[in-house]
Amino acid sequence: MNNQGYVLVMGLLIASALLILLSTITGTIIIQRRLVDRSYHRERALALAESGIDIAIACLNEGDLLEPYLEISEEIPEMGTFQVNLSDSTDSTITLASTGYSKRGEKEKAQRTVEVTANLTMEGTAFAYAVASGGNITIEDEETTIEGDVAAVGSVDVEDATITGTITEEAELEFPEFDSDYYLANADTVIGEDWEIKEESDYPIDGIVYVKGDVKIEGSTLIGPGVIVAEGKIKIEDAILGTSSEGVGLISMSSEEEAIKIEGDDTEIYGMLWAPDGGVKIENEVILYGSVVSGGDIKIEDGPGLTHYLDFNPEIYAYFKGNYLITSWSEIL
Amino acid sequence: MATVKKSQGFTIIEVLIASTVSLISLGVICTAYYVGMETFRFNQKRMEAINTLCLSTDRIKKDIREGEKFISFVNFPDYFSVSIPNDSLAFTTDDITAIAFYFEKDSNGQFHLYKKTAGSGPEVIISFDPGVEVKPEFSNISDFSVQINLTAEWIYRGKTKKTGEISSMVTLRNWNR
Repeated sequence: MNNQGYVLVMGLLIASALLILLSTITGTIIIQRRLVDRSYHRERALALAESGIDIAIACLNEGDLLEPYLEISEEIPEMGTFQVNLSDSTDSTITLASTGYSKRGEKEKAQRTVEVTANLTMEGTAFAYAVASGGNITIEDEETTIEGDVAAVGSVDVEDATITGTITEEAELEFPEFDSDYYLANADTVIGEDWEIKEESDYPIDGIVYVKGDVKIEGSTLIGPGVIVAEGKIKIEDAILGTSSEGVGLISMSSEEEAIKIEGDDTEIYGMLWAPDGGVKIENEVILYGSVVSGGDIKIEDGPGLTHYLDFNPEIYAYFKGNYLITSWSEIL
Repeated sequence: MATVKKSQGFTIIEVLIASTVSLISLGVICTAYYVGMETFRFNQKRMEAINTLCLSTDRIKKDIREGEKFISFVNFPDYFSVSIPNDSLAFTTDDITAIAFYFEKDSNGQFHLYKKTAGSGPEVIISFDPGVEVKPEFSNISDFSVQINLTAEWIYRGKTKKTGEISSMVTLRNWNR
């Protein structure tokens, strides 16, 4: 038998085995490297997408985005970009779809999209209380009823009145920061002097009505949704403001004790009252569905019925610095 | 008469050539295997570092969202009795609570993410693998938002290798409220 040449065959076999081993190692490393890269860029894309959501929610809450908004995009150097689209906007709900693009140089390596739904609420603000004061609260008369929580930075003095919720004295309250420029810039109507509405029926308050003086509303019916912002005092007497769905809010910039005064047995208000620097007085058998917030003292007497109510068409919440809170989060694959 | 078959061996030249070829082949294989294993180990380390970076950012983001106001480093002594690094990210969540996040190396050279709440001691939130160095950068982009940049490097046999970088923008959701 001729064995000549078997060394060559053996050599080739060994060389082939080594080549296979080498290519397997190389292949494994390449696959692993790609997996790590892919995972890395996907994580970065998700971080970018979530950055977009954070920025968009902050813009919404700061009032930097007003309709028709609808797109935010930004670049984080050496990382990538994000793009947020705001869609399906109703008065109270907004859907944000944010896509993060992770890049290496100019080349896009991965993208991920996150979709969240955010609802406008008064949660986390002083309006989450029926009555909230930066000073003291006095509630008198046995016929006075308050359905909801009452809180004051100072004291709460309750004489004979009925309060169904909790009473908190020396509370740490989060009062929204008042920004008159925001209301003036976004006002639908600006009235340059004192304003009086008397014996008017179905008077529309649509959006922001900015009054550069005092406001007096008497014997009238006002329809929302909207808010009256007065640089002076606001006085309401025997008037009906808003409905259970379309509220009418009142904001007074006055720093006087009775910046907002509500009186009259026939007064019925659906809306929120806010006196950032002054006090509020509510008397007689006024019926109020909403919330009363004041930087000064609040006096409620002579039997009003106040119910904490925040089921209005939430468009009005934007006027009172409501917060958009994320209610659902999902990734679009 | 019986003839004796002369056995054929290898010449010295053949042996030398075969040995050289074998040595070269072995060298190539060993080098490739070594480089392969190093790359494999680096990728594993990289993946772990990336995961830890992501966890760190998530953890910081979660608390910032509850925040109200950022604290400048010049005001750290007003809020924290124990000194914290100047490059810490600090913010208040209400009138009395302040939180700071910072990265620091322990005596063994291992990096940790610390959370310091005013009035209590620092707490290790996340620990990085030994050998991984973290370079944090917190830059405020507005009164209510911050950009977090975290870079991880792996120091292995005296060489520094960048394993990953992650950036995220996050906002104080209780700012101005």
